[in-house]
Amino acid sequence: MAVRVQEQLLLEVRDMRKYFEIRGGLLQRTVNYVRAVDGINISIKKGETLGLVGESGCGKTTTGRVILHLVEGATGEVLFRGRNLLELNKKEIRSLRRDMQMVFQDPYSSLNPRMTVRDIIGEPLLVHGICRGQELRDRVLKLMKMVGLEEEHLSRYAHEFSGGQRQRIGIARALALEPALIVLDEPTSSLDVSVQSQILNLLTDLQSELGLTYLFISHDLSVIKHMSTRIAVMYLGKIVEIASKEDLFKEPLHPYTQALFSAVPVPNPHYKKPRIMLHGEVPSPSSPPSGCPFHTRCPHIMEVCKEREPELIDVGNEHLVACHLVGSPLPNRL
Amino acid sequence: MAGFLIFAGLVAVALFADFIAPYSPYAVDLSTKFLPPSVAHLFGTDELGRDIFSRVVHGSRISLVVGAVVVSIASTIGVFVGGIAGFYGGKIDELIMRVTDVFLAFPSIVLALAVGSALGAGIQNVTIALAFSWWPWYARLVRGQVLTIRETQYVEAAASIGGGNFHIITKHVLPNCVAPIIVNASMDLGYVILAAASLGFLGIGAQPPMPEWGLMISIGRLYAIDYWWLATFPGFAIMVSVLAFNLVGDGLRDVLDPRLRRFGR
Amino acid sequence: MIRPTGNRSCKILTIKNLKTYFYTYAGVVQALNGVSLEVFEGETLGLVGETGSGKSVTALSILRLVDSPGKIVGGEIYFRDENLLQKTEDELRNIRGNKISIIFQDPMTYLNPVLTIKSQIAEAIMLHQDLTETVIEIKKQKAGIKQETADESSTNIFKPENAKSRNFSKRDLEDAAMEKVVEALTLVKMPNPQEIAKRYPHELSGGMRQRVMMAMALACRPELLICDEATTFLDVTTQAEILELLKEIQEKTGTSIILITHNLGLVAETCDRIAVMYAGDVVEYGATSQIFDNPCHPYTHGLLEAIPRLDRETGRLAVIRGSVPNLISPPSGCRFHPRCPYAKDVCEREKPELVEIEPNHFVACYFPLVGSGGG
Repeated sequence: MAVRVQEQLLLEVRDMRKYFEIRGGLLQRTVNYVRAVDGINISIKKGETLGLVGESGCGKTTTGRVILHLVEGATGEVLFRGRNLLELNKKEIRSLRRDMQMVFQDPYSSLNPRMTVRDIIGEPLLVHGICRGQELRDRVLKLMKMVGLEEEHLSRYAHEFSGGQRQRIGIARALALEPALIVLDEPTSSLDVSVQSQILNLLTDLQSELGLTYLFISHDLSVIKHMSTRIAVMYLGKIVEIASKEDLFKEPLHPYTQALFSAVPVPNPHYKKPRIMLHGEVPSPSSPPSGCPFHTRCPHIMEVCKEREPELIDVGNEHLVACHLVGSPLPNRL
Repeated sequence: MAGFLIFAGLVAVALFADFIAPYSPYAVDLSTKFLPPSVAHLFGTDELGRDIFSRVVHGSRISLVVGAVVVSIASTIGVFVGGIAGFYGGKIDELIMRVTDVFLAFPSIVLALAVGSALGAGIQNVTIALAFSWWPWYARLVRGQVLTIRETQYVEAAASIGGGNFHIITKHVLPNCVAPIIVNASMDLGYVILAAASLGFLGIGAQPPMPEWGLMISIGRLYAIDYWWLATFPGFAIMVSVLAFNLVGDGLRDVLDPRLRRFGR
Repeated sequence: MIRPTGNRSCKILTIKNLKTYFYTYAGVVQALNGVSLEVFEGETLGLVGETGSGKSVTALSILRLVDSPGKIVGGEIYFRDENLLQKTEDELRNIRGNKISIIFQDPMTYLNPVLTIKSQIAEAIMLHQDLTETVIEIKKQKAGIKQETADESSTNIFKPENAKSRNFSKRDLEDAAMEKVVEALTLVKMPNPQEIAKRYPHELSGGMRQRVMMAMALACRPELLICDEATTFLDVTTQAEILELLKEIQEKTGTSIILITHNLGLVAETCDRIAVMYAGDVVEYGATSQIFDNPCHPYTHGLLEAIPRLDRETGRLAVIRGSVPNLISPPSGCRFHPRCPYAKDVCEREKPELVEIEPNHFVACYFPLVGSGGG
């Protein structure tokens, strides 16, 4: 196993859990928990893109929000440059915000409809008291040019732009504070195909120009494949497999990953791939199955899967899988 | 748009009452009482010989001022209270909402009557009484708006760039609440005028010899069978005002809302 | 993937030069600018396009569900040999849900939250089907009489010619409908159909709700099923299940399907033929393998180059510059010309018509990219 140089790790998440309370009854007591994130470990090196992929309810969006401290009450450790975010006070978090920013999914509701482009992009600079007036205007202009917007757009309102342009505004806003890490939560899911490629190219360019590190969250495996260096697959609040992009696509080991790959439609009528059908419904995150969370739908289920939760094991080259089939004794390659 | 014209007309009438009204609204002339509408007295004269047209014209000033004051006070209180309740939620929200519910449980006229009686008659007291019973509607309205806006992604974005609560409330939440408040307030102006007139009719509120429309109807009612013009014209004025404000409110809603929704998905 | 199709020479739907406009405050939105396409028996036609392409409007136009301010202003739509644009509202109601059905994108908004699943599926059935036979069957079963004994003079009611649907009690009709509902739910492979039928929409997951919509749409065994982005809101694994199910149903019942989507991967895997739409026009039209192996329209080609995909490495993605045009004042001539890297003067002057570039492969372009190779 290659040794990770500690200083190079920009972000490290250890055993992070976030449960949401479900209240019920006359007195609104807590009756149950939605285990949105149920103990995950991920790490991102400076300059790389970690893709976080999974279907609805897997916890990827919550993970992004916990990292950015937009959701409180998580346990575990979220180490950014060595400091645990979950233990910082308000003031420290506020100053840390300059290093981590988010690009949101919905270009139509992530921009305040009553603010001009200049206000939207300039807001972070104002809030942190970095600059004002003419200097602010110049910096905003520079950011706009970086994302492909024109000077004349400065005084326009968000609703006057198309989805792709609005997403550019959102990206410019995220760049304003010159962060080291950007969490992108489904940034292109609401966009048309032809616009999506523009934005993805822009994100790639910005990353190499500015040395950014990305946490790219999406349900779209094709987009994740295109953008990521490493990919983590989530299911029901847990990470089931992490590997470099090349390793993951060459040899997906977890049955869920394999099913996911086989389900994604490929724009090539001659492409053959194994048909892996999953059966059964996705369990609810408030009552996850015992043992391995995937066992209720897994085509290769064994007795041990119902009883014991598999650990994330490194099978070589930092390819980690949580599956009893890929257990510790002899590797049971599929 | 028609509403806006009528509204503008009303304001003009109120502003220039002194010039439009041919007579003083207080000029008593017992020799000319109960004259039917004619060229000299467009709306006829009342029981004390006063020109009704002049009284109606001056009455517009009273009604508009009362309306404006009540709505301003009520909306200000409402925004403040509703905003806090909506934004902070939890126990504060519960507490405030229960208080609001108590106020809302009373029909506003009854409430205004109670407060008016306690304070004593008179147009100023009636204004206070009406404002007192009107603010809960705004609080509720604003609270609903704030609850919605609090969940939007742009508020989340504001938090992610480091904005504190105060910043978020003032720069993001409140500006987006304003639209429905304006719409509501403009329509409410009409209803406040109606309510003030109702209170005047009931004897609380404006006292003689004020040319307040409700009061005029109240007195005119006594002579309605023989002299229909005493009550009809003030009533007509009320109707026109309420209509105007309703239309303006509608028009404002159309203007303010589509702007937000032009680029649909 | 070549899939078995029915009688390929028999057309079940023909659309010629369909124009649908929306008369709004802001102006006239020319949503469909002369759309022509055909659907054959037993096949799946993919209707691909981005926002504003007009694919959903086409679906609604076929069923004459376009409400004001929208209006079909020109063209013809033939279902078998009947012109749908000349039908009365009554005749149309007989067709909707019965001969032509549609499934929409978000089942939660299209299912009535206060009615049980059973009521909603039964509605479609009771509107279109004469349940006489079924009621008789059930009554016979209840009375313990075998099916073969047909001439029961003592029980006249069991003679079909004596019975009409309206003579039966509500209870009888409901029992009969329930049977059909269970049948429909079984067709869409819903586990525990009797149990599910009694539930409400909010108690089901997204995938199950979509199955319910399919059951409603298929309850009367329509000849044509239109799926308008039916799987867009579903998880990719659920989507795969639903599409597999559709394929099985098609093989069993021979229904033709129009699959409307913006996802090129979906059409590659499920459709026999594809129509690519852009800003209200069909710009390319042909068999799936033709479109993907040999995309001739610059838009189709651009789209295929712009998407990230699993089957190969994608370096920098191709970009179609500009954005989808405003349909109130669309570009003149070919609506794609402002974004086309190969546009010439004629493209701005006159709209290109669909031209057959190889057998059964049509392109609307003056300068198609012939022999551009791999998609």
